[in-house]
Formats: sequence, structure tokens, C-alpha cells
Amino acid sequence: MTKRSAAWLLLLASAVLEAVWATALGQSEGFTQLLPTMVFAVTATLSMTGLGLAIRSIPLGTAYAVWVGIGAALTVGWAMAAGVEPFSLLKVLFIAGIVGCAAGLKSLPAVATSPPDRSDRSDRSDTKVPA
Amino acid sequence: MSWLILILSGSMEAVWAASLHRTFQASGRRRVPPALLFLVSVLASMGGLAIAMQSIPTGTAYAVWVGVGVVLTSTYAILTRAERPTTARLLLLTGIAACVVGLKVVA
Repeated sequence: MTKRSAAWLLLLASAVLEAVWATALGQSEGFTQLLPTMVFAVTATLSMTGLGLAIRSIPLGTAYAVWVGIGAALTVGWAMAAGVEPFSLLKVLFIAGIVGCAAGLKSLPAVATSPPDRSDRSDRSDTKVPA
Repeated sequence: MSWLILILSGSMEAVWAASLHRTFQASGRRRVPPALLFLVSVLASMGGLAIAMQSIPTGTAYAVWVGVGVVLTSTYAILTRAERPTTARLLLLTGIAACVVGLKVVA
């Protein structure tokens, strides 16, 4: 497995944990319920550590959007599957849109974290054409 | 006032994402300042959202908060050259932000 694929798996796992802590936060009723509060503290820490590790090889804006998007899609999908929220075709379409955009971002070519070096271009024939 | 708090806490999302990025890029003692900034901004972001949600409907509040966070985080990443703003990338980032906003507004 390449380093970049591993980073994407880590990012997805962190997004799943984000859905877990968001749900636990809702059930903790202002941190008064012990078990959901503990689940929240552990999963929120793991989720953000995972995001931090993933952004060493995935661009920051992309990683943040995927993390938030997949987390929100799972939170709503889970609530619908559990019957907490009513089913709606629109919600399913939005969830599909998030997953589609995230997959599209993953398919984009890897981007260097620093701007391209000028020296990379010195061998291009069009840069130094004799008059 | 709640709207101001909401937009400020959305901006804190970008601050914590940026400082998390710095924390994991640095090593040793140089990790401490961005890590502290991360802790402060992540708490401010969630605390602000919780306060705003007392007077703005939950779905709307969350949608605005996420929207501001995604736009500012991407802007920061592009300005600092951490991310190249190709058309495809900008469209897909906008797509995710729009779908999350839609998801929370219909809820």
C-alpha cells in the first residue's frame, strides 16, 4: 500500500470517528451523561489525531472538507437508518454528492506541498530559445 | 449577535485546521505553540457553535459553520501554497461544502 493510500484510509477512519463523537456529543446532554461524554472525549481525540496525521500527505483544504463531509454524511445517514430522522430522498442525494466529490478529490493527481522549483523548468526548450 | 458568534466560530475551524497542520509538520518543542493554538481554537469553535445554536436553528447553524470552515480552510491552504487551486479541485471542494449545507438545511 502506498503512503498516500494509507493516509486516505486514515482520513476515512477519522471521519467515521467524527460521526461517532458528534452522535455521542448529542447524547451527552451537555456532558451530564457519563458514558456518552467518555465516548465523545476518546473518539474526538482519536479523530483529530488521525486528521493531523493524514494532512502530512493529503492537502489541507481537501483533507478538512472530506473529513467534515464524510462525517456529516455518516451522522445523518446513521440517524436516518436508526429511524431518529425521517427518510428523505434529498438527504440521500446530498450524501451521494459528498461521497462522489470526496472520491473525485482522491482521484486528483498528488500535489507537491511546496511550489514548483524554478530549476525544474530550466531544461524546457521554450524557456531559453536563442533569438 | 448570535450570527456574529456563529461566523467567528466557523472561522475558528480554519484556525484549528491550520494549527493542526503546523503541529504535525513541526517537531520537538516547536510543536508546542501550534498545539496550544489548536486546543484554544477547537474549543472556541465548538463552544461558539453551541452558544449560537441556542438562538439559531441547529441545522442552519451547523450548515453556516461548516460552510465558513471549508471555505476559509481551503483559502488558507491555497494562499500558503499547501494546495494548488485547480478548477477540478475547487469545483469538488465547493460540491462537498454545498452538499453538507444542503444536508443540514433540509434536516
